[in-house]
Amino acid sequence: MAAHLEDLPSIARSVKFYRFLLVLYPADFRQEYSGQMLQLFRDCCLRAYRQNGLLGMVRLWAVTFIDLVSSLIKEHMQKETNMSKSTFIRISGWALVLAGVAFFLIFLVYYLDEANPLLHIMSAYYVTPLYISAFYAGPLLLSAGLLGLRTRYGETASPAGSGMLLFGALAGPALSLVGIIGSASNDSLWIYHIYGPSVSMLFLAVFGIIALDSKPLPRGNALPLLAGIVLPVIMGVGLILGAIDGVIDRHPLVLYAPLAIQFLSMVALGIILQGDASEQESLAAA
Amino acid sequence: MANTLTNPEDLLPLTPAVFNILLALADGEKHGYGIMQEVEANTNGQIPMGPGTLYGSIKRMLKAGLIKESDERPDPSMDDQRRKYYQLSGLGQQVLRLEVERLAAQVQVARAKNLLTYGQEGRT
Repeated sequence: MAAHLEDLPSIARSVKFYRFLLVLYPADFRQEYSGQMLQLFRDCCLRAYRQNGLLGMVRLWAVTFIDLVSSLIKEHMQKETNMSKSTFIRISGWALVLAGVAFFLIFLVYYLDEANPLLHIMSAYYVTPLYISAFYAGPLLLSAGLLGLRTRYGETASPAGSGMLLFGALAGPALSLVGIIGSASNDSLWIYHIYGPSVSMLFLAVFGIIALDSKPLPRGNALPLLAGIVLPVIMGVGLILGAIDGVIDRHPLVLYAPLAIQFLSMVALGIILQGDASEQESLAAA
Repeated sequence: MANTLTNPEDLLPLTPAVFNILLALADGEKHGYGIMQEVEANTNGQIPMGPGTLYGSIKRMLKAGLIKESDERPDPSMDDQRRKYYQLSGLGQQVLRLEVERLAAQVQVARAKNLLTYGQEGRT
């Protein structure tokens, strides 16, 4: 009886048209479920026709059309979210690597200039564009990196950890912006541009402390703390020494080792983050 | 794909579709059409579940580890071998139980506020 009903034009054409509509779903979803969906729709057609004839078929199509539109939107949105999320994580991983390079470059040029003022390193034609780019782009790259860390590990690290990364990503650039805009009218305000990344790093360090316990990263859970702690400590010590006797930045060699640790930690953290985006992509595609 | 580290309470509250699919699978494995029929019967047709909604939910539930594909066929002679059967996972059973308890607690509150006159009349 069922086989006989399937041959009816209204059912056969409905099934054929529904098979055609299934093309609208994302490829991976279609590949996995189109066969089962088609079979389910065929079952529904048979039942609708048996119960109410053509009127049942019309009613079934009304319900199916609403289901089709709503599920199409949902599946495509989810696919987009998965794709854009993993792309953002990958880009932010590289942003974190570049931020590490930028901060290392800034301090390297600064201390080389301090150590050998006669060389005028900062005004050398091949250093100046690099230094200025690093100086302005560094805080933004760091902010993008923190947002990527939050996107990938925020949920696993706890709401507090996620919050720290968000504050760090927002507060740092905001402070830097105050420094850049404020220094146009008051030169002394430019220092806030330096405080910006320090504040971001401080929040990264707090996230790092949380990460030591919750271990959200696949490996290297000490890296956020190592990457984040150096700059706030240097700035803090510098401020204290400056307040005491006006002596700041007189021990560059002592600073190189922590700065190298910060640089290596940020690069390693960025590489882990962008690598994790690939894993998330394959999970989403599975 | 099942996430064995998921805390069941993190998945609550469930959407009506997910709750009703879990409920349909509570007494054994079913294929898509079986799930759809049971959901319709359990909800008097109030939860419309077309193929897109059903298999979209199944996809997400498989990913969350709430259900898994079943190799068993209840009655192979009467069954289409192309059909896939689904069953509750351990996590799915836990989540369903917690959701039922959560809903029951809300019903208790509603009852205490005399909002369930229907049920009270029925009991007396």
